[in-house]
Amino acid sequence: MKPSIRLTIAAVVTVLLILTSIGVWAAPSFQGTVPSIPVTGGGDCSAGPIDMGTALFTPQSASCKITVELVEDPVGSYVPAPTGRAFTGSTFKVTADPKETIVQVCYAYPPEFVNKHAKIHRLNENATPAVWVEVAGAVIGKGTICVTSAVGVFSLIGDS
Amino acid sequence: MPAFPDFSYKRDMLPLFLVFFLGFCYSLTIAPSLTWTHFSADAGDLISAAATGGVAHPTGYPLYLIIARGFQLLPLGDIAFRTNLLSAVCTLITAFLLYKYLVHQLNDHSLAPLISFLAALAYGLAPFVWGQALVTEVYALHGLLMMLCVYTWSLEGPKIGEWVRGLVFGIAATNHLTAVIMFPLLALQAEGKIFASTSVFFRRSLGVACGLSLYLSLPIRASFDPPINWGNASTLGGFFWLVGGQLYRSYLFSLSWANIFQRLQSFAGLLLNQYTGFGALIGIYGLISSPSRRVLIPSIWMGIFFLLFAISYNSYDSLVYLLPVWLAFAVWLAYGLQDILSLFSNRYILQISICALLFVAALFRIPSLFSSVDVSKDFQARNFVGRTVQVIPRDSLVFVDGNEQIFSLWYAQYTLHQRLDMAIIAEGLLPYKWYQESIRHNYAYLNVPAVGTLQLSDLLAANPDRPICYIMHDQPIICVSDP
Repeated sequence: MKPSIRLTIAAVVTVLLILTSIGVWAAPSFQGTVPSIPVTGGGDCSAGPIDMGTALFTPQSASCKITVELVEDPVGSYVPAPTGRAFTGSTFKVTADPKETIVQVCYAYPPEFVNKHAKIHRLNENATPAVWVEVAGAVIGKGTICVTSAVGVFSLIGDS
Repeated sequence: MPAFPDFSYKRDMLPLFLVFFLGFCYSLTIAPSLTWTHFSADAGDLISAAATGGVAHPTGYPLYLIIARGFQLLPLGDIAFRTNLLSAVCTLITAFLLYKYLVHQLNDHSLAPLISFLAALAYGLAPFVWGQALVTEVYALHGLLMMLCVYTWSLEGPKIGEWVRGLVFGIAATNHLTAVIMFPLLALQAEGKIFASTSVFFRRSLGVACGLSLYLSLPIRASFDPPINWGNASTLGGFFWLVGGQLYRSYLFSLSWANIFQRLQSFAGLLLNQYTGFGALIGIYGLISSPSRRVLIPSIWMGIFFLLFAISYNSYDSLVYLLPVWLAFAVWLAYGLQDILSLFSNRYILQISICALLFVAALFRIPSLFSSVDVSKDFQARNFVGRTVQVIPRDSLVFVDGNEQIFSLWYAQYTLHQRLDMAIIAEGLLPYKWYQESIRHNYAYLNVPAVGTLQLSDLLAANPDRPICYIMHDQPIICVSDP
């Protein structure tokens, strides 16, 4: 092959590379050395509070079944935090039978969260698009922040 | 017409200059301690496993652990810095070998030393290669071993025994198992018939088996119950779980076509980032300029199959597997440059001027690369460790999530012997029996219930009097003193 033809081919390929190149290496989910395990808890409501580590879920009724699931990627799974705010704590999806079950949600609330004015939010999935809404009536004390609400998706959202 | 200059005397000077020059760049930018930058989240695991005679995450990396331990004995900086130094040295040797290899392969070209020098310099200064030279990870050694594989495969028969050729390939796989990608080359010949004869293949296979036998050091290490003992390789099941990389098998070929396409586009960006648009042009030109079979076969094999692996492996950092691709590209770069310079045959001043211009261009690129690779002032990991050991209450049960955080705390506890009172629990490893055994052994004071699938809640219930702390990816440390 003549050098001029080779050079033309190389130039075309290089231009194609330049035109098609992007900067993001696709990684649909974080898969690192230590695997992420799905974190779920729950069972019969009469069994008492469900401890998810950084949050505690206490059903307000004894006759129900409840499931709490850690949401690894709240932005991908649902919607981003409101403008100027960020997910400060973990996000949990709480489902129950019956659906009307009321649950007390308590998050650990260290000083860093206080400084960020973090509050418990519940996802309003009826809105289009869904929107995070602060749950009113938060009780703060003894290093925790607690609210009482119908089951749903909860997250601790603070200043970004 | 002036006579062509004799560059033979420079053959000794150029590789020395190459090593000193790259060494200078690396010494200014190397991480002074533990770092997470440049995909080195596993550094704490590797450093600690090497320092304690332990077994690192799958596939165990026996060769790396042995060499890293040697570096850790050097009287320089802290133990993390000494392990970082291994990566720098490996990259320098790779650049040196690449130079030697190219000089050997381009020996019919009068400017072979200069061309080889420029290609090896481009490799050593490629931002990804440079970054890997500064941190604790297995990839710099992997690059060196891939270079050795290509080099030994290409050497003429009498210069190297077939058994030794196989041994190099086998040893390469004891650092990073992806080196098995290169194994099929052992069935091929660099000259003469395409396929190796049965006896040659047998001798090479014997060499591979001998090299691979280094994996047997893992059960021995595991049998001493080190604090980091992934898989507990002292059992047969544990050994195969570890070496077979069972934990990560689901990552193989599980990427969607859309993501594969996106990664191909990203690869284009990475290639341009490593060698610039002009470098890419010369490299591609070199690839189609018909290098000899002994160069074309191993470089194309390495380039294509590591690219395919990196693109199809579903982990966030699979681009680290592209390092052998950058190595192959440096070889093509040399051939491209040789071919372009051949267009100006007998005009040696012009040829040398082009080489000098390329060298100056590489020099001018360095300042812009510095900011992207420099980790000499990166204290994020060290600050995290310092803050954590300060704020965690005494005798705490610490649940940790995230590679960086888990392995940094292993480093603090098992290597630096800090805060031995706190029990560090990696949540993601709790379901594994070997890990349950490990935490029983490492934290004898902890009550670890004997249940099938150990969960965070089981540990909480079994240790009610201990303060509980949670450390998650980007969140502040959360401690509950009154569980």
